[in-house]
Amino acid sequence: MTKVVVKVEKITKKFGSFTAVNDINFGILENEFFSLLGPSGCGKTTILRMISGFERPTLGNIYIYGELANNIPPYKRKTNLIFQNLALFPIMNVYNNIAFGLEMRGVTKRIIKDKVYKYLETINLLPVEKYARKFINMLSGGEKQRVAIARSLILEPAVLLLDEPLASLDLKLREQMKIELKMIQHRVKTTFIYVTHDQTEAMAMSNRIGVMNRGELLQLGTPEELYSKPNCEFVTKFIGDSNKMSGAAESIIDGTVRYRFGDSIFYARAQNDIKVGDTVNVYIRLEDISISGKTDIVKYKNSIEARVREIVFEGTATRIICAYGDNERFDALLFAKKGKRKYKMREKIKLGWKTEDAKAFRGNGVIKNGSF
Amino acid sequence: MALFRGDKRRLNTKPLFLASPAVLILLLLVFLPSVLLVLFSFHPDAPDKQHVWTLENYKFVFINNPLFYKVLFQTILISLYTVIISLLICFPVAYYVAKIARKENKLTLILLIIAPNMISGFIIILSWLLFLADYGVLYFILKYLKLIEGPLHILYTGVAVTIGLVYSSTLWMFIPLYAVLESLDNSLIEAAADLGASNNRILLRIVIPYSKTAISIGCTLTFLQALGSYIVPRFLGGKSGLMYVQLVFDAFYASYNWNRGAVLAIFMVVIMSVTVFIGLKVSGTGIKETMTLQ
Repeated sequence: MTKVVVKVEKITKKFGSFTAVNDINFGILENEFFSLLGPSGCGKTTILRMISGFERPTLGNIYIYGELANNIPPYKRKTNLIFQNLALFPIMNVYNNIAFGLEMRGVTKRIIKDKVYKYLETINLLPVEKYARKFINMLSGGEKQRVAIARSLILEPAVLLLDEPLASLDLKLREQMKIELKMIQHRVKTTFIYVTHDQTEAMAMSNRIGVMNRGELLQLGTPEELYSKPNCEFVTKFIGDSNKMSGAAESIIDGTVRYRFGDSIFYARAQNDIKVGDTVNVYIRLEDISISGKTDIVKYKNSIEARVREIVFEGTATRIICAYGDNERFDALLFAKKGKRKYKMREKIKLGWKTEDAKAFRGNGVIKNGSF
Repeated sequence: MALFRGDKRRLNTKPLFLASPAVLILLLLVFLPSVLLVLFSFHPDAPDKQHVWTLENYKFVFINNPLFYKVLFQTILISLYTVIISLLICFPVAYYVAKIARKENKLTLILLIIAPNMISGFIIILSWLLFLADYGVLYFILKYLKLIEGPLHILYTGVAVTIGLVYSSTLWMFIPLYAVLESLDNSLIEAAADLGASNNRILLRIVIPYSKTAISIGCTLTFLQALGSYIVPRFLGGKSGLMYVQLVFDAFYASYNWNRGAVLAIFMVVIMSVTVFIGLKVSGTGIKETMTLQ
């Protein structure tokens, strides 16, 4: 059986009257790549700082390898944190940065040297001798990233905590580092807890993801689970790219909601308790929407007629931004291989989707004539 | 802005043109008087013999004048004490204001530290006189605490001068230290703690090395300030707290020997230049970088 490395039990953190983290429970397994995903200010960094020991939970307990860690200071914990800005020491060269932790533990110089060189190889900074002497300001963004990882990994922590370490990198490098991080994790076999607001980062790297909003842990599961079975409106909105429709529920039969949007009737799967007359928010993933020209007959139960407003080429797919009804926005994706016909600006097209791909949640707002 | 543009090493005249008013003022008000001072130092002390060239003044100051070396040594010693004490006081204070104090209190604290510099230096010295006098305020405080019996013997000694100099040079030490500590990212301190460093180790390995430049700049400024001070030793020093500038002053205004005074003044410029040079060397900023304004 896999061991639970970090256990967070009914954790609450308050800053004055503001509740940053509210009653959260989860356990992290050995060698797992676990992500906390959520918008900025949702409390994910606070959880990370509590696990690393820089903040104390107001309520609840944190266990590291079964040992209560609430009162253990950061420098005595078996965790290491990689800061958002990396926090490399600008006054030292790469070698001394990486060696710092071992020096603090009183390891002999020869062992330190061997280990630093070994980890420089692990993070792929070659030739090692050249990089060891470089100062931090001489490194590129990606190299700094790797030095920060090596500086923490060399202490062989039970858990490596990463606080949005890729946020400052440019897109290309971020893509590369995502894969690199995953590979390093496989190589060193350490538990990673990764905090990010970027769903694609979390999806690409994690074994499991916890989605957070406003201090609450909303859903915890594998990337596939979150993607296909979101348990609430926020997760549906946050993971993937969806169109949103709001309308009034007219009937509910066997979990299928019939709702009115503008002048038309649509169907969607009810995700929570919806009654007739409720406002419903319906989300449809862009990739679940089929497009056809004016003359084609759409065989789906839900369909709308819209005008092409903008065509955005995104590489693997082309995003067609349409205007529908009272100038409401509706997006669809056209995958390159399938895109046999080209659409023109202002052309009238039909969009259709299956009822089971539309997820309806009870909304609490007043709808302004079917607004998005 | 570099004086030479590109690889051709052709003189770029634009910065020179822009700098010309300042250069002119410097030439007239600093360079010219200095040249006159140097010329003075080579003439004998007699109005009718100002065309005669002599080394008599230098001989007198450096060879025939034991007071010169005594005062010089004492001045440097007092200035060094001032620097060390000022650093020991200002570093923790600057650290507190920059890193520990709450944001909304920072401005108040900085104002409190700067406040003494808003009052005339002379008035400050007068209050120190009252405070340090043999039967002054400090005497009553210590007596009340039953720490002493007889009168204090601090005023008119080097100790009083050092206290006065430390007090009046706080700003020069505090500002650079505060500025650098404010720029020190908290996450560096947290990272060091996370990697297993105790508070002492963080101070020695991260905070102090990071502030190295500011420390040497603060020390240099404070040292120069102490070295060139006149009012403080004049009122708090008495005979045993005599400092160099008093020698210069006395040569010019007590014995009216401007030629000998010129020698003393020139030597002071030399000491100060050496101090600045050492300060810049230690802070890692070469003269070249300072001049080219990179």
